Amino acid sequence: MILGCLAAAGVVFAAEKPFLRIDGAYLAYSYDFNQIYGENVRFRFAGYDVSGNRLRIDLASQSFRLSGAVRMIEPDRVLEGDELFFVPHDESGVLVAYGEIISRMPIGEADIQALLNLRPNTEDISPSRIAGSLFYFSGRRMDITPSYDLYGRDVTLFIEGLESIGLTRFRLSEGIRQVENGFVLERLRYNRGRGLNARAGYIYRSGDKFRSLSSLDYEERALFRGIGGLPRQADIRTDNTLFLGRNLDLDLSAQYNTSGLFSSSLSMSRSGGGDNRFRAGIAHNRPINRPAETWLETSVLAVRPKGGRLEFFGGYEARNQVAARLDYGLPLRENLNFRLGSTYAALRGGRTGALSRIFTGNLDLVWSARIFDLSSHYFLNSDLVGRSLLSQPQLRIGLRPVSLYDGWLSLRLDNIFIYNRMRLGEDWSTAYSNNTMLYLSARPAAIGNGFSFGWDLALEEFLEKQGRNFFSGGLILRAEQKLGPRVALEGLYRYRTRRLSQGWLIEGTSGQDLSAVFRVRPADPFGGWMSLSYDPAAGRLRQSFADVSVGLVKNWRFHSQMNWDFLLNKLNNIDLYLIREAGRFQVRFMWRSISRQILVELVPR
Amino acid sequence: MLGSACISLKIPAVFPGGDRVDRMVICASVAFDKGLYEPRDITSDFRLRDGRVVCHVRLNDVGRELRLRWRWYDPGGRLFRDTGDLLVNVEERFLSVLTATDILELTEDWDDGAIGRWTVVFTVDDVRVESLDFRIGRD
Repeated sequence: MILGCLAAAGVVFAAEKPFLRIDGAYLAYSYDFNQIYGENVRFRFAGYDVSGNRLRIDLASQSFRLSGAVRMIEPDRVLEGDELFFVPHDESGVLVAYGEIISRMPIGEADIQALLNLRPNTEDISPSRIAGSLFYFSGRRMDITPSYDLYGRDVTLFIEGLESIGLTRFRLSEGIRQVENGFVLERLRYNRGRGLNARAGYIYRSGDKFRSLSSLDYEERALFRGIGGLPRQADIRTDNTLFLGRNLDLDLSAQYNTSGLFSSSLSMSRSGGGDNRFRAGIAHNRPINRPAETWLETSVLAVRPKGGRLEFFGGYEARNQVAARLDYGLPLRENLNFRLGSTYAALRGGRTGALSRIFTGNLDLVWSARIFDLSSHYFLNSDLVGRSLLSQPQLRIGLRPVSLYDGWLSLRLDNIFIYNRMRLGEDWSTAYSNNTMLYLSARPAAIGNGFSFGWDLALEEFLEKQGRNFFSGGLILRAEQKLGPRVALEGLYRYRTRRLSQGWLIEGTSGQDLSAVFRVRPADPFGGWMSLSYDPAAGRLRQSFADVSVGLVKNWRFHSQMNWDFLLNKLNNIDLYLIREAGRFQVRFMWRSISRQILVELVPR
Repeated sequence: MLGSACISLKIPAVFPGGDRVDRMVICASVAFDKGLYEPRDITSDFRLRDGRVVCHVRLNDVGRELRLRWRWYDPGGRLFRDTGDLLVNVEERFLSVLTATDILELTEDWDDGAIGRWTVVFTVDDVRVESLDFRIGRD
């Protein structure tokens, strides 16, 4: 399956001309890390025939570095140096020589500092790193295209260090985003649960004038037994942008799904420098089981250093539907912020298609001081058809965490007061509530002989007009005993209580649990933890969880997670993983006891 | 009597043998681990009070005598320390791994010219070159 994915990634029907052809005594490309390492290489760059001892390329960051006995030859001169940092696509570079001083000679229109700043990206590229890859290719010639695709000629594929197949010409890198022009079969997969899934894309770009990306997703289930759902499904999508001038674009996009969904939009956008922009367009959507909609839309974003940030969206639909949104934010002072927002929506919904008209508004004023935040909010929701109205002012005071006793103790206090005034028809009602929360936390303190102790306390008081008041509290005690450099035993005791008071009636609940965790901090080759929880009130064990990780050979790792239920006296679940870390992706072989399935996953990272 | 000789060869697709720098790092110290000195506290940021900067190099498949050399350049790009050539493996034994370190001693009374980006350059037989940047700050 893995080979299938790699092969699928490699199928390209229209290739670009390479802008860097590298010949070397030895070249290797790591698929895991998207990096190239080469020895005794030569290539043509910026009009020079370049040769050198050791080449390192990080394709993801587009960092190129040639080290050792670097020679750059053109018909009438020869340049020599110790290292060349270069960017092939704009033919710029810097040739560095280490003598009594460091001399740096620019090649082309080079930004020397920017080129030298790319140096860290190539520092970890080494023969052992490449050879430790799950997939790597070796050969004597490689081509890099302007979209940073990599093609190898007469390359050999190595899987986990073992020589695999030889390939005459092969696309080594992958990715629809990297391709400048052409058709790409991006994915071809079979999954027992979903059947066959293919994704293909076509990219066309004409200089700075036009860009188009179209894709097709296809799922086939009818040909395979035991797979539910639609027999097959296709999703076609196209996004096209015509660059009409500086800061002026015309966008056309459409999407069609064989289930019947269709949407399309045509819009023009103009950016006015910085974040300022204007957009206007028309959109047509055809959802399932609902009437089609055609919207005329416009949006404006205006940002002024002193005038604040204004954002507006307005839309009108052919069946008299309207949607509008306005947001305005203004920093009044360094620590005082003002924000005003409003929406209006006249939308049709339900089976009858009746029109609802809702107006909402909010007004916020936030003051941030050194030790507390004070904010006032006002929210209004008015149903203009149903004649209901909610008016809700809110006041929040929050004490920023205060450190006491040299940071050992941390204190935080929040208070929220909300006043609601509601109208339903001709009836008015009011409600109010106040919520106060206090958090007190003590950092673990070392007591001696590897023993440390800390605690957290949280209290909350809720009062409201209707009298459904409550008080709740929670206490957590944490202790840790170190048993070795990586081994520790942790204990955790939690107690929580909640008291409801309504008039003379007080009722409440409380709960507590005690748990212990035996932890081995991850390091080669072993890491993991096991927990045991105990109910002190009932006097019995509850659950046990375990998470174990063991390093195997190379970058392979065995991982297991399990859960034992003492109440039912059975193993609830056990998951077993065999994981291969491979740079930009991870290969996982999994067995899950609940689903009783073996799964293989390629997880991008 | 007439005769002929014929030679054929195949270029290996695996990594070619030979002494090569596998890894070079800047670190605060080294520790003896499983028979080799290995880098500890790998970083590229130092303070004058740290006392020293260590450049650690690991070479693989060394089968002959090598000349190793470190050159340290200050933020002005001037050569500050040059170890000269250090001969290793003069017995020309085959060594699967060879590690080597050089140390730049720091003192807190250095002037502001020492504050900034430094470069350390490592060469093998004057030909194979590795370089790394690191920063030295005052506090």
